Amino acid sequence: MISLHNPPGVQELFSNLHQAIQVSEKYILPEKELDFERQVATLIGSCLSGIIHSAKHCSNNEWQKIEKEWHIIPFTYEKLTRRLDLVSPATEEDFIASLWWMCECGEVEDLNLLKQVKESPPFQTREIDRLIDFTIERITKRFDTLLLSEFQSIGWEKFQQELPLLMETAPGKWVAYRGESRIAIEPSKKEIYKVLKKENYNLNEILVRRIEPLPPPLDLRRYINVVTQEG
Amino acid sequence: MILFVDDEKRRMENYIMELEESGYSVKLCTDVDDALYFLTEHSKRIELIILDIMMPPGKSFNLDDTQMGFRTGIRFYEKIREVNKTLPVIIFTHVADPNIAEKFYTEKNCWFFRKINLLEFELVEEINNILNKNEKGKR
Repeated sequence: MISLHNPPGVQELFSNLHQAIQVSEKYILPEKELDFERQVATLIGSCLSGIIHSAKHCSNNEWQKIEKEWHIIPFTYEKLTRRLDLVSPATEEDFIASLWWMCECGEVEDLNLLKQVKESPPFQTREIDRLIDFTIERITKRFDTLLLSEFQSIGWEKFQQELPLLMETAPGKWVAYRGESRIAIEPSKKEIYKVLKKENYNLNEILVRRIEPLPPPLDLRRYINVVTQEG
Repeated sequence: MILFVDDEKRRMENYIMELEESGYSVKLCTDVDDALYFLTEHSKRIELIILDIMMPPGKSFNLDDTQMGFRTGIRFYEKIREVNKTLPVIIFTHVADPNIAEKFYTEKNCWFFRKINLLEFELVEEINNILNKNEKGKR
């Protein structure tokens, strides 16, 4: 049985690969840098899908330990490839799909990238110009809304305070807060949204969370260092 | 058969592979026009539809109606319901807007999942549960 913490050879291979990528970066022609990053990203993507494929063979107990991180890793990978697709897309369709993705999942730091793309987009049509503006507007609005959503941030504080008690009384259920008020606990997300709809709540004021332990803080840099260091 | 409607083949390949390994036959349509044609011509063969939201509107839907393709899947969902009201539909998307999520959470025979929340094998498990094939599911 291979220990997950120290599989023989894997750490060494990973370290060699990391080093090879760093050394290679110095010799890549400037106009080939994006191709290089894309190839590295593709390589990491293949590794990730292989690793994730193996996850279905672990037990429930093991899965609970790694579940959070394994959801974050593919997302981090996707974020990286979407950024690459904005700067150097293989096709117009990839470019547009990545703009849509940015609309929903883009972060504040993507705004600068999008503003650069807006100045010299890889494809230029009236629709694409509109979509870039729309994407910038959506991300800006989303983060403004997050900052201004006082009810949700108060709800988040309250949820963290009450979590130990909720873990005893309703673990695994879903809870909704509006500010300090806990307004519903239901067995599923679907049911909680039914209640919110029935009561006509403004969803932008509501915090909905599953009652489960909060994940420990995660340093994402250790997953993306390979392609971002010195980049 | 599962009809998988998503314009990003390269990003959906692992999901399709996992579904096929689990015994499902999958028809991927990366174009909404092809998907609509398939839906109307082969509706009896389709057990379940997996539907993306953000897709090019094709010839079937116009650009403004779909907010520049940003909400094409919603228009497509309405077309599905014109053809079949009970066919299970999984909305599988990056869309984070709580109003969209809420719309689909309250629809009958419809499930809403964000792509970032479901790994490949978890999607298969959800489908197993929906189609009452729990013996295939692991968790």
